[in-house]
Amino acid sequence: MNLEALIQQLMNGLSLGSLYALIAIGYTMVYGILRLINFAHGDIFMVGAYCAFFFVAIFRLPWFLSALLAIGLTALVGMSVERIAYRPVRNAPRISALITALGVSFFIENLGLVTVGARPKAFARPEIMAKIVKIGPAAVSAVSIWVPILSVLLLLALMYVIYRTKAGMAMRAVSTDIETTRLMGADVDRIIALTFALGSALAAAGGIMWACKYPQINPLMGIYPGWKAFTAAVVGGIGNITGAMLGGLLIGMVEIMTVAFFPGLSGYRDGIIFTLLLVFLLVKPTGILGESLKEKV
Amino acid sequence: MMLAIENLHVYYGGIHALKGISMEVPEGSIVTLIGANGAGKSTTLRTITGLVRPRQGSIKLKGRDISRLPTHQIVQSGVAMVPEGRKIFRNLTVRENLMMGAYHRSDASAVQRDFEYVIGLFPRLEERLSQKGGTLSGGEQQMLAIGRALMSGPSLLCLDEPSLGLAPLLVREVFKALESVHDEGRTILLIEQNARAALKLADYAYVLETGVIKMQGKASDLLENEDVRKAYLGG
Amino acid sequence: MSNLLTVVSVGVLFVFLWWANNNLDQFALRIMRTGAVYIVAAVAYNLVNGITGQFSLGPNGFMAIGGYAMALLMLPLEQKKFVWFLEPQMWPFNSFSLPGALFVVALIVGGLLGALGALIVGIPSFRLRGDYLAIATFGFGEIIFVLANNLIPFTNGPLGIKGIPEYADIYWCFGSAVVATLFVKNLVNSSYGRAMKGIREDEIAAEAMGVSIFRTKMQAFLVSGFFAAVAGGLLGALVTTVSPSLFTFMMTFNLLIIIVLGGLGSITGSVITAFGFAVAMELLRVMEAPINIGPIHLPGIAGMRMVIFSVLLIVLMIFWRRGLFGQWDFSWNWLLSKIGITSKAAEAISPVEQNGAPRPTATSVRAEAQEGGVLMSLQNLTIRFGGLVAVSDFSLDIKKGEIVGLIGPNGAGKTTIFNIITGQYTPDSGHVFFDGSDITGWRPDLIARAGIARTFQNIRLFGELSVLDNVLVSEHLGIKSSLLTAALGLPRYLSEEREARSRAMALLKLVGLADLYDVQAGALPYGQQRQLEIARALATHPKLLLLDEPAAGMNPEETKRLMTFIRELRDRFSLTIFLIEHHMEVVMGICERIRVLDYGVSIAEGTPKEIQTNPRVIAAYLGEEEG
Repeated sequence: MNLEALIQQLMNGLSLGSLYALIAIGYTMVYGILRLINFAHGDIFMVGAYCAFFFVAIFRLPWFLSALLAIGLTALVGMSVERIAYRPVRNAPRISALITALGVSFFIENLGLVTVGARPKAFARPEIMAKIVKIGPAAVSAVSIWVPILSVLLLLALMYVIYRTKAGMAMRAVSTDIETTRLMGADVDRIIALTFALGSALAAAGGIMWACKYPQINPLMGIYPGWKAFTAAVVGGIGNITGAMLGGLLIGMVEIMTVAFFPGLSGYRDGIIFTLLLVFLLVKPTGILGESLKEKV
Repeated sequence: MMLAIENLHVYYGGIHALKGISMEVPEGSIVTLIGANGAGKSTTLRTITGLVRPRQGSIKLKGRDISRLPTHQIVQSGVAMVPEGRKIFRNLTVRENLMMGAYHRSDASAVQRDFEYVIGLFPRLEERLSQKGGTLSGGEQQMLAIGRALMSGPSLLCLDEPSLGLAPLLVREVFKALESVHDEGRTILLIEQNARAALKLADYAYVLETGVIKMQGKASDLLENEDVRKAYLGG
Repeated sequence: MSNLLTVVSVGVLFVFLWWANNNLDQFALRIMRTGAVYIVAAVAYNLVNGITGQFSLGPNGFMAIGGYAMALLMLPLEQKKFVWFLEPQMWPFNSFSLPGALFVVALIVGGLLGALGALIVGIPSFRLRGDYLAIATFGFGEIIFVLANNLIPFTNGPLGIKGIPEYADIYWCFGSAVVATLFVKNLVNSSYGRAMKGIREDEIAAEAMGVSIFRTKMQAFLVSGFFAAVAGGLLGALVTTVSPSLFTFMMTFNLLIIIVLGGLGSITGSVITAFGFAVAMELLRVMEAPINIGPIHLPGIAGMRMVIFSVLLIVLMIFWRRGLFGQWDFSWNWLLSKIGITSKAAEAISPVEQNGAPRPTATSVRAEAQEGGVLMSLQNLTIRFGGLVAVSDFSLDIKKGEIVGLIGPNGAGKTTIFNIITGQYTPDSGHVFFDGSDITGWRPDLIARAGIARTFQNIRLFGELSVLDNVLVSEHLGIKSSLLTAALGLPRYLSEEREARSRAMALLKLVGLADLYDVQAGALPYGQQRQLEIARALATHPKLLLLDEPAAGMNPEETKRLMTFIRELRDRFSLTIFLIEHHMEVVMGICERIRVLDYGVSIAEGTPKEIQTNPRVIAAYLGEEEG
C-alpha cells in the first residue's frame, strides 16, 4: 500500500475510532453507575442522526442549529428511556434489566422502520465537511479531519464536566457507591438521569458526525456501530471512560486497517470485531484499564 | 428533643430485627446504642437514615416524622451518617469526599467554613487532600468519613461502629474528636460494639438485645453495671 | 400411571395429526408445523435461560448449525450443483446426499453438531457473569452469521441453499416437539434439573451442596444446543431454504419473547406460547396490506408486529416478570388432583418412603464417633483482601465428634474462615486438612463431596423451589445414573430418585418440616428457613457440619430447642460440629471448646467457663479496660 492510501486509511481509522469512542462512553458511563448494558444505546445514536435530518429537511433550520437541537432532543429521549423502562427494573434481577434493554432496542429500531421506512435517506452534510483537503500526498475528505477534532473537543468537555463539576463528582460517587451517595443528601435518581442525558448527547453527536461521514441514514444504522462501540468499551475496560476512548480508537483502527491490508477479509470485518470481543471477555474481561470486582459470600 | 423514636418495628432480611423500640436523643447530647452483634444496632441507624423502611412506629426529627422520607431528604433535613465500614468514595480525592458531604448545601461560604473546621479537627487530612480516598489507612478513612458527615452541616450526627477495625490508639483519637464535636454543641447518636469506649464518651445509653431495649440509663451508671457484661458475654 | 397417561396422550395427538393431515388445508398445516418447530426451539432455550438461569443470547447460532447441517446432508445432488453456482460447493458435500428416509439422521447429526457447538462456546463462557455470558453467546451467534454469509463453498453465502425438499411434515415436526418436550421435562423434573434450578436460585449455595457448577451448566447447554439445532434443521426443511437471514438475532429475540411470556422456568408455558407465537406470526403476516394514516405510512405489518412484540417484552419485564405460568409446570398428578381423583401427597411420597432409607455412611455407630481422632486441621491460615489482612496465621484442630465454637466481635474474620474451609475462598497461605486429605483450594462442590457441609450467615435457600426440592438438590451428588438415564426415565434412575426422596423426607421429618414439603422455601417463616438450611446441609451426608450463626433472630424458646437439636444431630448422625455464633447462651451451652477470634487473630481458647472470665476476651468484646 502506498503512502497516500495509508494516510487516507489512517484518517479513516482515526475518525471511525473517534465515533466509536463517543458511543462507547455512553455504554461505559451507564454500566459504571447501574451495572447495566444499555443495548438500546446504539439506537440512540441513530435517533440523533434522524433528529438532525428532520430538523434540516422538514423544519429547514440551519445545519448547526439542527445538530444542537438534535443532540438536546436525543438527550431527552435517553432520559425518558431510563425513566420509563429502566428505573422500574432497577432493583429487579439483572437478567430482567438486560431483557428490558433488548426490548427497548428492538422497539426503537422497529418504530423507526415503521415511521420512516427502511429505505435509507440521504443526509445533508454541511459544506465545511464535504470539502476535500490535502494531507501530504493524500486527498482526504474534510469530515475525516473534523470528526476526530470535534470528538476530542467533546471528550474534553465531558472530562471537564466529570472531573471539575459538582454534578460530575456526584456521578463518580454514584458509580463507586450508590447507597452512600444517597447519604450525602444527593438525589440519586437525578444523577442517573443526568448520566443518561450526557451519554445520549454524546451518542447523538456521534450519530450526526457518522451521517456526515457516511451520508446515508437508516433506522438500523445503530446496530453494528453500537455493538462495536460496546466491544470498544469492554476492551478498554468497562466502567472506565478513558478506557472507552482508548477502546474506541483501537477498534476503529483495527477495523479499517484489517480491511485495508487484507481486502479479502472485508466480509468478515464484523466477525473480527466480535471475535475480539469474545477474546477479551474470556481472557481479560476487565479490559485494558479496568478493575476486577469480586463477589462477597 | 432532637430525635424521638417510638415503637419502631423493622423487618430486615426476613427477621423481625427491631421489636418496638423507643428511644430519645436530646438536643446537644451524646447518646449511645450498644449491644452484641445481631442485636439490631445497625438496623436502627439504617432505618433512621431511610435506607430501610420501618413496618411500624415513628421517627421524629425535631418533631417532624421522617420515617417515610427518602434518604436524601432525610439528610437534607439535618441528619448525617458515618456508615459502618466507613464507605469512603475510594476513587474520589479526600477533598472531593469532603465536598460530597456538602453536596446538598448551597451556601458556599458556610461550606468553606465547615471545611476549615474539619481540617482543623483532623489535621492529618490536610496533607492528603489530593490523594484518592482508597489510599488512606483505616484510621484516616474513619476521620475522613466523620469529616465528610460534618460537612453536611448536620443537626444530628450518627455514627455506625466507628471503632470497627481500628487499633486502640486510633479509637482513642477518633473518640477525642467526637468529644470535641460534641463540645461544639452538636447532637450525636453513636452505635458501638466497643461498649466501654462508648459509655465513657456518652451522656446516655441504651442497650439493645435481639431487637429489644434491654437496659437504659446514664452512661456512667451503665459503665459499672455487671448486667452489661452479661448481655455481651452471657454467663 | 403418569407414563401411561403420557403414552395415551401422545397417541391421541398423533391420531389428531393424522386427521388434520387429511382434512385441514395447507395453510393451517403449515402454521401447525411451524408451531411445533418453535416448541422444540423454545423448550431448548428455556432449559438454559429459565431453568438454569444462564442468560444466553445465542440460540440462533445453534439453530443455524442444525439448519445448514441438514441442508448439506439432505439437498439432492442436482439441486446442489444448481445452488452453488457462484463458487463450487465444498467436498465432500458436493458428492453425496441422503435419501429422504434418512431425514431423522440429518436431524440427529445436526443436533450433535449443535451440542458440539455448545461445548465449544460453553467451555470458555461459563466462567462469565450473567451479562457477560449474554454478550459472549450473542457474539457467537453473530460470528456464525458472518461465517454463514462468507463461507460460500460451504454455505453458499447470502443467497442461501434453496430447494430443500419439504421433509418436515406434520409428523416429523410434532414428533420432534413431543420428544423434545418430554425429554426436557423429564430432565427438569429429575435430580439434574434440580441441580440446574439450584444454580439458578443460588449458585454459591448449590456449589456448597455438592453441585458441580460448570458440569451442570454444560449439561443444560449441551441438551439445549442439540435440540436447538434439531429445530434449525426442521425449520430449514419446512421453509425449504436455509440462508443466514433465517437465523439472525431476530430469531433469538422471538424465542426470548416466547419463553418470557410463557414463564421463564415453565416448560409447559414455553410449549403453549411457542405454538401461540407461531400462530400469531402467521396470522399477522396475512394482514399485509399497507395502511396510510395521515402522514404516517405503515409499510405493512412486519415492522408493526415487531414494535408490538418489543413493547410487550418491556411491559412484561416491568409489570409481569413471571409471565403466564411463572415456574409452574403441568404434571399428571396436578391434573388428577384437580379433578379429585387422587391426592397429591399419596402420589408423591408413599408411607413406606416417609421413614427413610438411610445411607450407609450416616449410620456409623456412635461409639466410633467419639474416638477423638483429629477430623479437621486448619494450619496457619492467612488471607488478605486488597491489602487488609482478614485472617492471620489461624490454626485449629477439631476432633471427631466435638462441638467447637468460634466467636469474636464483628468483622473478626469468622465467616471468612468458614469460607476458606468450604472452598469459597482460597487462603494466601496455610492449609486445610480434612479426614486425611489436604483440601486447601479445592472447589466447594468437591469439598462437599469430601464430607463438609455448611449453612450460611445470610440464609441462602433456593427460594423458588419447594422445601423438599431444596433438600433433594443436596442428594444430587449421590446420584450415579447418567443424565440420559434420568431424562429417559429409566428404572435404574427412578429407583435412585425414590431412595433420595425417602432420605430427604426423613430429614424433613427430623427438622419438623415434613408436612410442608411442597411449600415454596421462600415463603417459610425465618426460623423454619434456618431449619431447612440445616436439613439441606445434612442431606449431603457430611462428616463435619459448619453452622454459621444458626441462632440468629431466634427468641429464647427457639434457642433452647436449637441447642437440644444440635446435640441430637451430633449423636444421631455421628457428626462433628463447628459453629459460629453470637448468641452467647448457645455457644456457652453446647460447645465443648471455644476459640475466640479478634481482628483475624486467635486470642483465646478454652471451655465456656474459661472464655467467659478471660480478660482478653472481655476486652475484645466490651472494649479496653483503661485508665
